Amino acid sequence: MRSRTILRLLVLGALLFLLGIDVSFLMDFPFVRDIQRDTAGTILLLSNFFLTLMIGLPISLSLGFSALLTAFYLKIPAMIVFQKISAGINAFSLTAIPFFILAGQIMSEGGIASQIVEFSKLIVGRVRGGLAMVNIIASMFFGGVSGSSVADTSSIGAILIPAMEKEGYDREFSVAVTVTSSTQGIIIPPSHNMIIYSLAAGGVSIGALFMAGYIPGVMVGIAQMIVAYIIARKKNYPRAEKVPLKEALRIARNSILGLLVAIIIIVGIVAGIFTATEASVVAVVYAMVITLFVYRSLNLKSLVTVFKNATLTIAQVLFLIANASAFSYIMAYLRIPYTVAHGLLQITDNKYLLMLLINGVLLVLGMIMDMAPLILIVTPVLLPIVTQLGWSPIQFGIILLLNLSIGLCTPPVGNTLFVGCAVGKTTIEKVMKAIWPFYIAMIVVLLLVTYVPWFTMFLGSKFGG
Amino acid sequence: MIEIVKYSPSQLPLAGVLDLPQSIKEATVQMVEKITRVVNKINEIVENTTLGFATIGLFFMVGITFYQVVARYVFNRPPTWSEETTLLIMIWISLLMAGVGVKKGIHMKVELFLNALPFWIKKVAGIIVLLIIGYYGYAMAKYSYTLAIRLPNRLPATGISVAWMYMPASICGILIIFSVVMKLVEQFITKKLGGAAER
Repeated sequence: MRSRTILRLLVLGALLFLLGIDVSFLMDFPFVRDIQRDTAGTILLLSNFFLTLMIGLPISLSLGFSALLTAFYLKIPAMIVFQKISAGINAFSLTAIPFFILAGQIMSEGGIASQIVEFSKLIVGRVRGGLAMVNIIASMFFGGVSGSSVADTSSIGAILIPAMEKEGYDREFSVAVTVTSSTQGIIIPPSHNMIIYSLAAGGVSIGALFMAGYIPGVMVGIAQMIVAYIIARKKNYPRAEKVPLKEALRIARNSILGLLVAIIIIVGIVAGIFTATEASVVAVVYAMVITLFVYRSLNLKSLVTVFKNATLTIAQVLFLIANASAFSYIMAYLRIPYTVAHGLLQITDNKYLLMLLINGVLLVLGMIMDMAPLILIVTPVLLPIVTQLGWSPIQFGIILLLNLSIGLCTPPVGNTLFVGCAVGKTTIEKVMKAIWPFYIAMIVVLLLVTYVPWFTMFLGSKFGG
Repeated sequence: MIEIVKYSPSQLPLAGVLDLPQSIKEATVQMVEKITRVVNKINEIVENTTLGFATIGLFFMVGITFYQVVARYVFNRPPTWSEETTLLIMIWISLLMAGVGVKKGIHMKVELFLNALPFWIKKVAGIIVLLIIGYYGYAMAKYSYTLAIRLPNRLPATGISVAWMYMPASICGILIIFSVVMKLVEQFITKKLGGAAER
């Protein structure tokens, strides 16, 4: 009860503080008049952003509204803000995003998850803690079809969490495995978050990013499997049942047909046959053919529903990008990236320490905010200094995504964790006790990827560069 | 969609305080029901039209881009207009649905801080947020419209006016205002009475 009162006071204090800053700049009170124009603009932009965010304005609108208000204050014509909003989504590389989202939704509505789960049982089911391994491997495959960790958690979790519980696994452990393993979908291509990063970074090659994601994505999976194996040994979790050969062949054929989508996309882009957009549309058409005619899990009516739902997700992502481009225009106008780089270099000029610091900041930001908006805000600010320190934009992209994907499974704001708890019918507090070993595994991978360029650049520089 | 609640006249707010004649009470109840019905109908029409348009648009996006792939690799003659058209449809779909999405609540928001606050502050914050969204929609509609009519450029491949690119943002602004009005109506007319009916 007492801690709740303190929390309440803290939040109220923060709100009033931000409101005070906002009002004093907008009303041009005497004590803020001496502050330099750029600094004043920066303070106003950020305070207004956090204020509106805290009172529950949707993130996309909060970005746009703060940009607009700051533009008024700096006497930039408001028209420019809205010109940036329309221009922000007027980039042809973005058309891949609706298609990847659509392909992912068709596949998950079309029951690809259960095919993948069966297939994964063939590969790792016989290891100790079999179903936990299956869960992780299935997410690896699912990541090759869809780039959404929420879709992964809800579809694979719905199948495997009850199955795991039935075989004697702790429910919290099952949820923890499902949630953390689903982040592989973000790192393993295709991933629409990589396209957002490529746009925010000013046109890093999507093919190179995709290739660079493979090894780190698989590393996340392996690290989690090691953790799951140790826990399974300790708690004596069972192996999965053996599958008869005839059945195994049928399962393999069916699921490989579905997994071909991933191969079409990657081979097409890396070999230079398709652009990312073309590859993604081929994936959509292929997914429609498979689900309509081979699996027969969708009919025309349910396909239309999938399209309808996809437009909502597409609008959400692209409206965010549009508003963020206005926000980052104002950030660039105020030279915020330069100021941040300058400030960071004053703390230390040891590049390894600095990178550690950046990782820490990203982890904390990832805990309190969602992925796509952070990619859009953070990339233009941090990329200049990171490249100055000697990191490639491709490697940084993977580092950024790894950081933010850890944030997706942590409270207080972690969509994947929330979905996982909802699917597993348990609470965040209970899951926290089972999930921390997996956090450690992911952070180890993050550090390896940060300090050993080979993991990303080996594939990333060879193909599509 | 706002639920239509059947009230009895005694459940109206202030029913106990103001001793109004029975006929006026009944008329009020009927009026509120009527408003709710009309509002629901308008909302439904706008939402379904936009959603239908967006769904068809998405089918077209897939069709056009797939045609482009086929034309390039099979007939070796890629169309010049396809990329620009797909992009334009995408802008229309996303901005229009984003406008309606304000009502549907598709945009991500952070509720963490609000949940720490007392209920009445939450409620006031909700209304302030709606007003901010409404103002933003107004600015979006106004300035994007100015851009659309003022800029003389044409899109390079298809040769149509660049206004086609800025108009959707303007319509998005109008749809945002519409969503906000709908939400306010819901909050002040129907929800309030709904609350009274529950008590």
